[in-house]
Amino acid sequence: MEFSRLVETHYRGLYQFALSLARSEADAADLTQETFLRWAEKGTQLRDATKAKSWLYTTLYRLFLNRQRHIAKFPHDELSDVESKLPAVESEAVRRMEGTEVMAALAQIDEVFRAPLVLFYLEDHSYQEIAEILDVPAGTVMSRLWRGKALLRAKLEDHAGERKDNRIIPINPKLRKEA
Amino acid sequence: MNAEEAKLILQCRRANGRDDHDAAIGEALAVIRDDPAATEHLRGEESLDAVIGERLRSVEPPADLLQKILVGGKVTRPKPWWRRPAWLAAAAALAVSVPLAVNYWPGTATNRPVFASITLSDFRTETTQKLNAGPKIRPLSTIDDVKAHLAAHSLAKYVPVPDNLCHCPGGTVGCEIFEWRGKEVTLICFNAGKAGTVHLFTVDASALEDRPGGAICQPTNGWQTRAWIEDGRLMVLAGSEKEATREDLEVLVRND
Repeated sequence: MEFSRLVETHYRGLYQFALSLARSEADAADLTQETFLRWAEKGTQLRDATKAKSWLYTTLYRLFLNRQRHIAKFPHDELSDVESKLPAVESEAVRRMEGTEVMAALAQIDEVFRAPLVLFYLEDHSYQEIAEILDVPAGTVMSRLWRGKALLRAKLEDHAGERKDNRIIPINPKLRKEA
Repeated sequence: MNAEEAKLILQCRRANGRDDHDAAIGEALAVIRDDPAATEHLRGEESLDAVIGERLRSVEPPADLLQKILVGGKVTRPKPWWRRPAWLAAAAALAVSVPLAVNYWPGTATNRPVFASITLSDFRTETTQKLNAGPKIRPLSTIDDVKAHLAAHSLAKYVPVPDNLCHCPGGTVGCEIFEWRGKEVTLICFNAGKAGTVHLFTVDASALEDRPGGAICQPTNGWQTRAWIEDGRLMVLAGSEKEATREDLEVLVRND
């Protein structure tokens, strides 16, 4: 695939993934650019062109981890360890939010859960592919998705509550005195 | 697998059904198929996931990111190994020690400069000679492809290609990156219609001895050339004297 077409196909998703990880637009843009630079340097050695997407996401994730010096190994969670109910949050409340608000809620979650969650929501990757990108077993992806969704819903509920509070029109202090 | 386990697995299933061929997901779907409550639960979960996913995917990258990636306007571009501090220190030590050693070595004292500078005249002469010898062009038919190639392979942060050249109706012929006197030169070839194929050479102008005050047009080795400096790069545009006039080159370097 031509470099320009590869960039145009994947840069949005990669940027959204990078933004969820780095939590800063500048760092996300930089990670995305560096990922394509790595592709230009090494990616063309990839024999199987269909693996380009996975290669790009894996590379971006590794670049992020290297930057964070995130070398501690996280324990692999087992599917049986997780609770079986997710907190309820209304679809309509989320629908009213801006994408950046949902991204902000996501940014408050630990990176261990954030990375598989955003890859899942980008809908470009199966849970097996997410496991490959993050280099963890598929069962770990399942449990992290479950826990991550629970955490994200709790944050979204908080955001939805704040939005409701913000809709209360404060009384003008002058009018208050007159009243 | 019971219904609770099936629910856990199915929260990994993408709403578009693309994962239904997966063995674990297929088994989980079979488990909840006859359980109306579990099916209803799954629908609710998928609906919420679809909204969250749609919101996240709506976040737009910065407007200039695509262009920056394609033209290589990267701020923190990784340094090649020869520019890393350890190598720079070694190179600096060599730069000091080699001339000293040469000067003090019996019978080898020399007044030749250690580092070569470049002149516009040399650059123009040797680039047009290269054209006569036949450059090794990488065929690329659009300016975007050329920019992407340069972004991937050139050390230049930015090559200021004039607008009119970018919009040549015949597009680009290709490009080449080569070394000349230790400096990286970029060559982009355009199909300029009646003016024939024109060739734009650029090189970092910081080591240039004779910086031209304005544009200099001069026929050289059978080529009509126009030389100027832009954004710190020495630019030489060359068209065959048989096809391209000085005026043609003037029009092609405009930024309209």
